[in-house]
Amino acid sequence: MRVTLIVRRTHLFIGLFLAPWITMYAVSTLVMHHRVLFTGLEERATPAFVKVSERPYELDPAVADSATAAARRILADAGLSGAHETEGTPRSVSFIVSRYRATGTDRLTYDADAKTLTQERQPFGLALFLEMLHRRHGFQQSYLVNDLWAVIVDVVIAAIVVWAISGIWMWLQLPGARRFGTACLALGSAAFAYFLLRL
Amino acid sequence: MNRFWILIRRTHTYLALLLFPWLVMYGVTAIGYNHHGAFGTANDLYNFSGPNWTAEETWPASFDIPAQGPIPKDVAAAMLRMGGIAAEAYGGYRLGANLVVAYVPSFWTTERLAYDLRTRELTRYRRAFVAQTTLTAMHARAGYQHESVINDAWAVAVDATMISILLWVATGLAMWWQQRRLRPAGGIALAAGMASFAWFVFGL
Repeated sequence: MRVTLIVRRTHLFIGLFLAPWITMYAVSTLVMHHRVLFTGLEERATPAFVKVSERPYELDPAVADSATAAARRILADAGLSGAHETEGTPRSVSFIVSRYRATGTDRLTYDADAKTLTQERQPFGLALFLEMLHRRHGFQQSYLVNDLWAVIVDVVIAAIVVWAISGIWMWLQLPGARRFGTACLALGSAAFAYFLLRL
Repeated sequence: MNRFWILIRRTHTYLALLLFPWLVMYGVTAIGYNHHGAFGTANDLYNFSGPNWTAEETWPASFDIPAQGPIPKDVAAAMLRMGGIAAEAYGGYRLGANLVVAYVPSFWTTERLAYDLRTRELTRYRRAFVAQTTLTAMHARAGYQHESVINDAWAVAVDATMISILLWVATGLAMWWQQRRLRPAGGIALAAGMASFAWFVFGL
């Protein structure tokens, strides 16, 4: 009885804590799966960038030979440190640092000849917001918040397995639900196996 | 317990049992995305000269390829026919300036037919099994875009799983709220989760 109580509480409290993530993954999947219905587009909706500012800016020569170091410096100077990608080289007329955010990506373009920094921002879009959160994963970025998010993704993965196992355990404690539950489990498993063999 | 709450509990349980394989599949296959390389590399998926790819056969060919834009489905179908691949679900894409590729989505095998616009040759390539590709193929498999009953059925299962997840959350919240003793602790867990999620949304 004590084990069953622990299983029930674990199932419930993990579910309550991770409810925002699991809801986000489900809703974003539906949006991606039915793009035309939700956005009217067949491809990912990407709101156009809007120019925010253009200002004089001279990159510190000490970081100008490294795209990685230059990008981090530019982002820090703009107050936008975080996950990003770069295009071009810092000594060119167009060194682009894209600071990816689900709420709207910032694009910073450094012109080494004109010594200017242009900032553009992508307006918030609900479909893109959900899709970017859904696709955010991995430990590739060197920022703590990104590593923590990747840890949470692992926690969600582990939680799904825990929900599945604890759910089976709790179902087996319900004698009145065994017959119909077995039929559901068998039907689902058979259908899944059929798909695995055919697709 | 009245009939309404029994219905809520049974809906939660039976949907979970019916969609149990999909739930577990989405969880396990997500590892392939969060830990690149844990199950082999998928980086050579678009590099037919990579060590995992084998060129099986080449034919002289001529296909009517539009100068730009998406590859029409009938062109991909003609490439597959010449390559001896029968499939209900397929598509085509451009790979660089000189290659047009026809593909068949599959969990287990990776075959491609590449038409070289310069040499006017069609080559069938097969890639060795890479677990990473199978995991991500299952996770990302959608549907409805192919004129195929089994692909549509898979897409319905994807939708059913996602709607069920939302129902599990809703019915789970309702069942938790029914247990008065668990409201304070559950409220803390829910609030902590929501606060963490909000922090990530603005911090990422």
